[in-house]
Amino acid sequence: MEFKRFWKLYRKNRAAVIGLILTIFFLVMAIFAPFIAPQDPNTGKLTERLSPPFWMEGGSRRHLFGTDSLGRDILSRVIYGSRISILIGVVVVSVATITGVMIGLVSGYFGGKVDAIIQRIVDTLLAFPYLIFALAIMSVLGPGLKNIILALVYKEWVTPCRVIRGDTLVAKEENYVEAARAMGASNWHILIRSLLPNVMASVIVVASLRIGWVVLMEASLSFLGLGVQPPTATWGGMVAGGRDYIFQSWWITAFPGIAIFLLVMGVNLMGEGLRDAFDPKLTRGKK
Amino acid sequence: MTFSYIVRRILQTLPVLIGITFIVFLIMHLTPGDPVEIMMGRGSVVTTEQIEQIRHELGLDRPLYIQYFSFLGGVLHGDFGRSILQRAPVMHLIADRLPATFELTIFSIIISLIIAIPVGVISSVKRYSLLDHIGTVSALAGVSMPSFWLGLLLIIVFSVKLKILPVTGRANYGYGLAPITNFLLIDAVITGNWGALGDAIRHLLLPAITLGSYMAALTMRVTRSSMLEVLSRDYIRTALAKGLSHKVVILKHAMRNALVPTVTVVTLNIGILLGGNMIVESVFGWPGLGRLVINAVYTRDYPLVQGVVLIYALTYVVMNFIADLLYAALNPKVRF
Amino acid sequence: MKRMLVVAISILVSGLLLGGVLGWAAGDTLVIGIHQDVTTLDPGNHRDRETETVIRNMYDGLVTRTTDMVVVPQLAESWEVVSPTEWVFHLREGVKWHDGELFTAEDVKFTIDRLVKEGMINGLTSPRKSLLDPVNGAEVIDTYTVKLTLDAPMGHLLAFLPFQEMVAKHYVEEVGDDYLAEHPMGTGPFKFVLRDKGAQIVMERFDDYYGGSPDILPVGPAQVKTVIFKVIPETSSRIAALLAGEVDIIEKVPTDLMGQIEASSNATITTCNGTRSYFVELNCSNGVFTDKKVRQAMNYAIDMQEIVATFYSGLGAVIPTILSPNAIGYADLDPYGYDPNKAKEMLAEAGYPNGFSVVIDTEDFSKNVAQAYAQMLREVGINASVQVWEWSILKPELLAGKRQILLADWGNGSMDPQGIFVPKLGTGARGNYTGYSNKTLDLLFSLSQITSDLTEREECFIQGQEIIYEDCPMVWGYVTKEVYGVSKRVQNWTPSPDSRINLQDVSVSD
Repeated sequence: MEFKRFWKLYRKNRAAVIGLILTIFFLVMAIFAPFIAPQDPNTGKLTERLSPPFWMEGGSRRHLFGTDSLGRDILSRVIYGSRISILIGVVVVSVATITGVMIGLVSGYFGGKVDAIIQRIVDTLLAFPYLIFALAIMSVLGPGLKNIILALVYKEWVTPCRVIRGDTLVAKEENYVEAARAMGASNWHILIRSLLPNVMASVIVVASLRIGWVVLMEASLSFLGLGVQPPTATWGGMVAGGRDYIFQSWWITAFPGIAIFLLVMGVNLMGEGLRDAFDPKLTRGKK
Repeated sequence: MTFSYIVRRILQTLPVLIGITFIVFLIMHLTPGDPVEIMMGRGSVVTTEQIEQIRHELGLDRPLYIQYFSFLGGVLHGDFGRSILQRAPVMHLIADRLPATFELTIFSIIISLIIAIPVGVISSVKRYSLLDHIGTVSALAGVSMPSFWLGLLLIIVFSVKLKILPVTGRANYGYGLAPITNFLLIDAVITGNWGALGDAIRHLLLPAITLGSYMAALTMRVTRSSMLEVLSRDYIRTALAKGLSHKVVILKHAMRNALVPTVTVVTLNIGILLGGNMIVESVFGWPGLGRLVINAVYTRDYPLVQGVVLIYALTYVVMNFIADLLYAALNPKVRF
Repeated sequence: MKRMLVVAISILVSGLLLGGVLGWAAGDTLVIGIHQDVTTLDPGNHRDRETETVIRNMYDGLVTRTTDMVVVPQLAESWEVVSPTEWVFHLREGVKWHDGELFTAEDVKFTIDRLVKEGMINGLTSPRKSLLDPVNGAEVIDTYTVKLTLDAPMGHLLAFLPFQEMVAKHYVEEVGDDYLAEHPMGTGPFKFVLRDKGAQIVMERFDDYYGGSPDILPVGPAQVKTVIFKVIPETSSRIAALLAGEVDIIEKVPTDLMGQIEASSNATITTCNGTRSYFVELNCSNGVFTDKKVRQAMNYAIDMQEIVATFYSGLGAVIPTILSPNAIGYADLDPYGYDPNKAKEMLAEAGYPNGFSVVIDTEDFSKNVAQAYAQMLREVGINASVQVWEWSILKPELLAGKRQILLADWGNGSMDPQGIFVPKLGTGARGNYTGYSNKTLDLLFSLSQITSDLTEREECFIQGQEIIYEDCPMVWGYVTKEVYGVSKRVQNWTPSPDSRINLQDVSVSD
């Protein structure tokens, strides 16, 4: 489907457009953070700690969203926090999707023992509650950006794998595959040249729908104290940091929480817009 | 649903369960940090020899593969070993906390279904109405909102500002509720202790809403879209043409078919609830397995982590099985 | 469909209405909000302070501590040191267990053996054995006299004995260790009612209580009827519960949040000196801190008063070395004080006119303080950065001498320097991360263990403090105060530095 037609379909869906706008908004925020943020997100004056947003008594224009327990500017930290959320969301989903798709293709196409073994592994990983698995991996690897990406990827690849395997099982019976085989094409050739492009739409949809989930998981792990370490600002970490103060200095948790919410919602809307735009080509898949 | 099918399914899940025990075992033992050191606490009076001695007593100095097979052997006898920190049998610790988690999970599912299915159905019937829009937006919010944030928000509004719901915990002492099953709702109803029933419900509400929001959102959307699909089918139009009332058509014919994907989605997402338990229990101070396992991971309490994860996996596997059963029951075309 | 919605709503509404608020923070009940659950209810099978705090209300020890950390008789009336390795205790007569049986020397022997001999609890050794270290058993002399035997002299025995509570021989032998862990039965002012794991522990007044320690007034059965320890891990929830009148006493109030409680109409703040000393450990065995001058310079570079004022709202005391002002043998030296110019001078003298680069290691909970330290060090020219670790990963690095600066703390529940001075600064001691080693100091430690004379021991510790004051293996810090939130209906309770919350003499007024 050429891009122009696709875009027209996508554009008709107002919700999807809103999602796209939100996503782009946060992307811009992440990329241009150093230029947008009014203050340094990692240093704060202890004398200014716990001041409220500017519209409340005690607030100031210098700190539009108020400050946290170390006097750091919440607005700046929210802006910089977008970098972590988006980075982790994109990287984890990319790596997991590439890995999962490859394995899914192989599993679905070759079938037999290979498929059985891979599916057992997939089942095992699926039976693991997401957070517990990530928590356990993080405690082995230790906290940090690289490790949280690894931990999430280890669990995340099974979703695209499952979906693509399903699509492959269907697709491999199609005529063009038969034809390719009849012409003497090698298995790998078929996989990469014929099957992959045809499941691409599915891949894109699954990937975009998973970004939101991964961002939520990263926030949860940061909330639990794992993930990227201070003083780097992460939204989940900010909510956790404000937990003690929640009844009196609610802004410390409110704003990063809203940010998570808006980003995830935007990405979800965008993903669904993609799915609906691809719809005629796609069988309804599970999330 | 033949007997051989059931047997086959069970045999299929066995490697999964064993695989899980293996992964957990591996992960926990790869994790740096010694549980005995942690138990003793950092600033404490004890010598290295004494710590070694305790480790030896607990069998932690044996080669890993021996520890693993000893654990597996124990599991087959229903013995999950002893918690290193709490020094009590893991089975007891799990059995004590299981009702809390399960009650919360089940209550969450019930609440989310009670809200989501009707809203989903009505949304599909009255497309683009106000309810539909509200429902769609709420559903979107439900899958986008981080549960820890939602929970904290609800506490601020209902417990602190409005003061109508309790801040934390599962129940207040003082209602004299007899611990029969440790499912507070069941116990209260059985003994006719209405004060305790109300108290339990009040404590359940906020955590259940937090935990169930994701599932409610999913359910609502699946119900809506599958109803939409079913409603456009020919046999529905036939039924309407035959003069059957709208209500009957919707409730009897459409819903029965539309609910099939709903059931699938719900049961397949139980896993998310089990995982989400950890955060919700942490925020609401709920005395369940979620908090137990977080603490166990932090204190490197290997037997406890292994036991809880195994229970979770077992639950997941059983739920999948039930999902298949329900699917077959609801869809007479499916045969095994 | 609509019917289902109506049903759902009615359940919610009826739940709200049926609940109501049970007047339980009323009359004869006291509710304490604790920050984590107990790990067991067996006094001999844990190493957890919170657990001991709860257990101490149901079980008594041979001796106990007042809120001034003075050791006073409880189940034992008096004692003698017959020889350096033999202590004889004379027990109080007529003390009843909760089940009505009499407490005797047999119970003491049983408890001590259970603690110090191997494999006594479910085939495993008690984790509290090391708290009684040279003690190897007990002998019954007669019904109310018991002798503790030791492998070596233990000058600090009395300081450590309050940690151990007495269990009943007849009960434990009958029901077994696992049952004991769930169904405690002691001689304490309260008897066990029930426990909801992870949620609460409920106990009730024991009317036949012998009265407790004669040195802690009033002597007699407990003042309140019911005590509930409610587990509320979330800090903000704990405070909210206090403000809502759901609990009467809460522990672990962050200093930042005291204002809410002080401003409320039904609760106030109470504090006491804690048992935790905070300091910054320097690697004395390799790297830039092998030079004493540099170490002393570090002490001048950091403004500890500022740290206490900022991070603890002033609730803490800067200390000259490692001991708390409440500790036995505390030496009242002058803390180094903040003098950044002097620090720079000394660094230059030591050969670092432009400072050096260094990493401050810290754990998650103290990372903010670490940042503050880094900032102060940067101001005297030291290029300091912070690294946050998980303790289990950091510890082996420390022991291997690979790190430079560690933000650390160490609790000392007994207030006896044996519990902090020795493990932190003794050569090769378990908690010695600085690598510091001083033969004279080690000698002083040995002397303090051999004699049981308090004055002699204090003298050893005072001399020891003078040595480390000069040597500065650490940047000396502070002790923090423990902050408690207390409802105004609570009478006669003062917090204790060892985190005990003893409720025998506490009453409530409504």
